Amino acid sequence: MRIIPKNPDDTVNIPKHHPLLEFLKVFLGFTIFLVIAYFVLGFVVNFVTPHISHDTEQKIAKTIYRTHKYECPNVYPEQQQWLQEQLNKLVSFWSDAPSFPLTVCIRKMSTRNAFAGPGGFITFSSEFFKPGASENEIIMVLSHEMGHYAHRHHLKSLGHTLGFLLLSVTLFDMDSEVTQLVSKFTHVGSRQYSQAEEKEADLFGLNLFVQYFGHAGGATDFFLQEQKLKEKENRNPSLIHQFTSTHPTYKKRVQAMDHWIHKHGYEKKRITYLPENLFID
Amino acid sequence: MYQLLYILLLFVVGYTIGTITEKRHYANIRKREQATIKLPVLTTKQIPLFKSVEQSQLVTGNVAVSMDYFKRIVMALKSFFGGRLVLYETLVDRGRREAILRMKEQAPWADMIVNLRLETSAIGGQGARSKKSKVRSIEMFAYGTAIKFQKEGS
Repeated sequence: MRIIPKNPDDTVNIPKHHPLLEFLKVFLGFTIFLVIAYFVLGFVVNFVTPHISHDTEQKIAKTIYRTHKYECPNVYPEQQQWLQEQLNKLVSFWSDAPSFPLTVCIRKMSTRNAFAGPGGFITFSSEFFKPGASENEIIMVLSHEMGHYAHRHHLKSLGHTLGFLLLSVTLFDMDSEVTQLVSKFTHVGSRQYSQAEEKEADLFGLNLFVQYFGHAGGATDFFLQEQKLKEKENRNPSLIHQFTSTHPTYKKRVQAMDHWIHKHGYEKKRITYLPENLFID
Repeated sequence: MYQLLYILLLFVVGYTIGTITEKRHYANIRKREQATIKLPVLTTKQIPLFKSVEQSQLVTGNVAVSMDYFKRIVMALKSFFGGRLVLYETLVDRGRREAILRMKEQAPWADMIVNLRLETSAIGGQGARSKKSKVRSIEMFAYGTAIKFQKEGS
């Protein structure tokens, strides 16, 4: 037997595919899958959410607060009582109000901000009660937060998050790099979804605002002030920031609300300033 | 957004360094294969020549090769669709050839290595929240019998 020495043939076992081409193929396929999954999930969540009763919503919220207990420090009792009264008044204008009570809590914060938590707990920043503040701004922000409950954004957001998490974990395992990657991409996607939700809440809030005051004067004041503040600080958001932000820019929100006001022929009358006894220095 | 950029950076760094490492490794493998070409390696159990054996010895070669971040992500995505794991194939090829080379380099005195066997095992990292181990590197183990024949006429 004759043995002929020969080096391994590189053309057999080493694939000819370029790694980047392979990546592009896989990435494109996976992106298409993600986009389809995102829309299907969105459709399912939007279809199912309106059928979930307020009782079930409250039960879900209770489950969340079992681990993250909601406590209001009641630092500003007078302001809180006033704000709760206004909230109750706004609820009286709302025909499809949820069966669970809505509660507001004022917390000390450095910026003017408010958010609606699951189960009807609205958190309000003490900065809204600075001297010179108007009732109109406060009522607009409060009714905007109520808009999140009206459109059941908590449930939708929960459904989206849970759906994608379940999908990623089932396919790739919890701490897989792909799960982390998917969560980052869907995070950007959910930001866009969140911007749409903010617009929905704005318009709901505006309608409630008009029912409360009888006109639309001062409805956009808070957003205009925040926009001016950003311009003053030279913090105009970049395109990337706008795309990845949860909230649309103040300019866009004001434009959308002004369009709504014009469309429905709402009047703009004088604003009502906050009584001095409610100021927080 | 910054987290996405961070992942992208890891991805680019993983691809660049991984590609350079792979190219250098292949260059090194080819050079050493050329240098040891005169030592044949066979999988046969029987010595295929009618010669007397003067010396024989078990020789082994062991190597662990790791995947870069780029390959790890692409492989995880690919496993979703199925099909050839092309990027994994170069890793396996490099591991196998390196293990055989190391085995050959242990027996520069030999005329032949027979009964070559290869074993592969996956070295997995285990996630903090997961019970499943993940393949991050592979180990290749090559072993055979190095033989030196008696010189003719001795």
